Amino acid sequence: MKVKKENIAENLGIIDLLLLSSGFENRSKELSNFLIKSKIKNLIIFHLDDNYHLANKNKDEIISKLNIKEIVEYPKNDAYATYNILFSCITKKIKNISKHKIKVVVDVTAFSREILLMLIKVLTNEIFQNRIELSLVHSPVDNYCENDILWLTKGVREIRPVFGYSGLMTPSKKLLLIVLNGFEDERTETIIDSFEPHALILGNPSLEGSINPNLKTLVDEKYNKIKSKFLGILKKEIEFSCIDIQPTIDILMKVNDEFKDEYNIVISPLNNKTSTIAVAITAILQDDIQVSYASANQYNIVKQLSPTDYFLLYDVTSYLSPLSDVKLGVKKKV
Amino acid sequence: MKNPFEVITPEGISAEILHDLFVDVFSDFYQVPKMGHTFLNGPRGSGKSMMFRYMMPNCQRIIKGKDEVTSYKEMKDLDYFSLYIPIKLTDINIKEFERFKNDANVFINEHLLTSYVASKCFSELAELEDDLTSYTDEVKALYSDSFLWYLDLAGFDITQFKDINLNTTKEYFSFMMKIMDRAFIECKKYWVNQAINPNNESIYNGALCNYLDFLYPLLKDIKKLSFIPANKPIYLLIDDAGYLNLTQTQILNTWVSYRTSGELSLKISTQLDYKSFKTVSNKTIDSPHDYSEVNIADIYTTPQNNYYKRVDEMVKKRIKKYLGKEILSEAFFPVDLEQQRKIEVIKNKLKVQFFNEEKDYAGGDASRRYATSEYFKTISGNSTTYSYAGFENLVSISSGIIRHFLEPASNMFSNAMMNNTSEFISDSVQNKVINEYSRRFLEEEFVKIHEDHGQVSSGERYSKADKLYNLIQGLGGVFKKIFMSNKSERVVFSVALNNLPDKELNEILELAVQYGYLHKSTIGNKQGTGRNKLYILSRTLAPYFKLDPTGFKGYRFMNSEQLKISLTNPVRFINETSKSFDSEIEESTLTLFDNLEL
Repeated sequence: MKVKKENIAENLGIIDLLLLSSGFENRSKELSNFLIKSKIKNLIIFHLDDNYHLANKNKDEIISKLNIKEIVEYPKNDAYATYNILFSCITKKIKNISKHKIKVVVDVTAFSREILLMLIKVLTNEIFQNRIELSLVHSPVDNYCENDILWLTKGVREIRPVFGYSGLMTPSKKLLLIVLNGFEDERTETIIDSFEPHALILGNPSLEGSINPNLKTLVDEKYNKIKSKFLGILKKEIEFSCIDIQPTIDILMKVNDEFKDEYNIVISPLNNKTSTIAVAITAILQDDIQVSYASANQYNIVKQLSPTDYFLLYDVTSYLSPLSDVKLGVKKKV
Repeated sequence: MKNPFEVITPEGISAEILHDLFVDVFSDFYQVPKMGHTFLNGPRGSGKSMMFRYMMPNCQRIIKGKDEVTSYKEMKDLDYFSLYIPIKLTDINIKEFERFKNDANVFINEHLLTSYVASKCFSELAELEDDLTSYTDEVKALYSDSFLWYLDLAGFDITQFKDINLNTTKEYFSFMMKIMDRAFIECKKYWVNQAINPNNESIYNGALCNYLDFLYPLLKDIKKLSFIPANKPIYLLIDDAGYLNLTQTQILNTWVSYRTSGELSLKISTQLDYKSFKTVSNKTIDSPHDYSEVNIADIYTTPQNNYYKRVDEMVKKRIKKYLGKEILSEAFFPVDLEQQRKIEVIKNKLKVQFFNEEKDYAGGDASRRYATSEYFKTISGNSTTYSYAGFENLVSISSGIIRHFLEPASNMFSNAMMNNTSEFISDSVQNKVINEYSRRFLEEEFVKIHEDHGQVSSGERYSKADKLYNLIQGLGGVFKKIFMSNKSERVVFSVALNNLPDKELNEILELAVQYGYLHKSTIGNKQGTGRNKLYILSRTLAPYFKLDPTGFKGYRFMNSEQLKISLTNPVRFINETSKSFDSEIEESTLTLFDNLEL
């Protein structure tokens, strides 16, 4: 749901716990500019311990603006340690909030896709079931590319399943890779090459689901380049939304139903945070799906991308209730 | 239209198509199909998976007669019986297991690896159904008397599986596969749940399978089935074992150390990324004691290798199969004709200049050796660039790694298709794509290397990544200077070390080999008293450093102390190495007749 920036504080109401992060982009400060300090009861700012100078500067600004006391650092490229840090500090914080229903808001803007996925995993843990009302806010980029020369990232450092999303993959099944493509066609290419899947589903943002429809031609061009290279294994093409999570969840669930008997399904979300949230929810609802992340070698920190004049707000509470709690092979200690 | 150069996942194509496309390389890698544990090492895309796929029973059975008529051997007449176990990037190496550091780690990982391998084995066997219709009773007995027995011993609850009656061998093998899938998933689900819920207090009561008590005896019983070749080994073709985590790697090494190769040989492929050669009890497995080792890049960078022939054969097969045309590789990837014409003019001049009545080869020899170098000199400093188009150039630039040929060729074909032509790839498209490929091979890969090896140790000025980058820049720079010099041998891609490198230099050289920037070999020393280490720069970097990738290649002897300068000061290394070019005795570089073609 699009919310005008000046209406976001009113829309969110009283926030019991706000989780946010700072990044090298000025967009990471955007939500803090529009929130009302008195309406936020608890805050945690997460920060990568080895980050760009610009990200530290932005962190300091956010801390000062919202008077944040709790700053939690997490290490670079250590998913296991990061998950532990997220889990323990959020568990501790929620334990200390003596309310039946706790309103948790996450500003997803500056979290990397991997950390965002892990954060959602923590917040959807069974120990928080029925206690949390979870809203996610995103300040998207208005115009990613003025031209095809602008780059966002270069190279791929490592491809790994996201901690908590390794998926209950069956050894005898073949591998189906779903890539939600974005502007980074080289990253997409490396991921497909590395997985060597038996089958591929390529996702392209739909026109109505694009943040900036004017960029559709450029996106399509990059998409078609990838498509032509992997025609031999291309099983299906899908469209997803960068604005709403429901259409993306719907199409991913449909694809899962269609292919799950024959294939292990790995999803690689390479587009914006909205589609990444949709992937997280799909994989939490279908725990045989694996979500994979490709960390970049280099980010373009020089180019500051302009934000939209609205926030994207998602209330994901309704998705959390039907989470399955079936545990094969698990017997509770008596 | 299908892109004929698309990199194919061998698992995804039929035995018949694979048989049509496969270029037999086993005369180059004779150890691979022989009995015994083998590590097959090669960079990504060097053809390991294709070799394994070709070793599968459904491919081995195919006999192509005259006029391309296909007939099939009996399975029991095969020389060996292979089961293919591909390890995909994130199949079993998952981050959640990092939580467990104690002995449980070994037990869980061995169970996961064993049940994974067993499931893949049964999956392969189930695929053979057409050939096994008359063996149902035997397979039923295998299920009841062997499979369930060993599963029970592993702690799996077999009660519900005891009185199963199925109709075909396929059904039995599929059923055993599903049980192994379940054994795998139950265990994984429990441990992942433990990892994401650190406060969870549940306990694991599931099965724990291992190699010695489950997989090995079970495979020995499978070997007794009468459709399996008698008195021949079973091969487990474990593809891309570098994707296993460290514990799983040590477990696999432990399997190798059991020396069961007479009945069960492990054929393990790696992308030079194998994490360890230690077993779970911290002992090392050694070659040739425990296993034989085949390094693809080493073989295809030695003298008189068959690589060009293999690529030519492959290109012709693919064009015929997917484009339905019989075109010479050289015609499909034409050279830049204008450039070739200019080089021919230079060659003719050189023939005249070096004409010697007493040595009738001298003119032709000089024209071959110097023409490209002289052409480079004519374009140096002006806007003309050297074109790397042409099949011979492209094969040379792929430097013994078939993927370095296929990937750019695939991009070239996609580009050509955009211009609606599939008859041939224009020289301009070839040149543009291959230059970009070479640049990416160095520059973009290096950012990754910096992430992994970018730490500067205390007391050091440079990280390992810096030193590696300097080494490559230094070598590329020296080779470029040699190429542009007036030396008698100008195309040099290798350094032979007169003495052993010290620990620091050796570490960086090994890193360069691991990332594919250098290939390693040995060469007889100048005194004829032994062999020296030889390091060959990947010719994939030829466009990047503006070198000639084709033709005869020389090498340059140097002391390791001199090469070590490049780690910290590549400019000084280049200057010091090249300052004596015009005065030095020519024997320091190889002559045409030293019979080395790299």
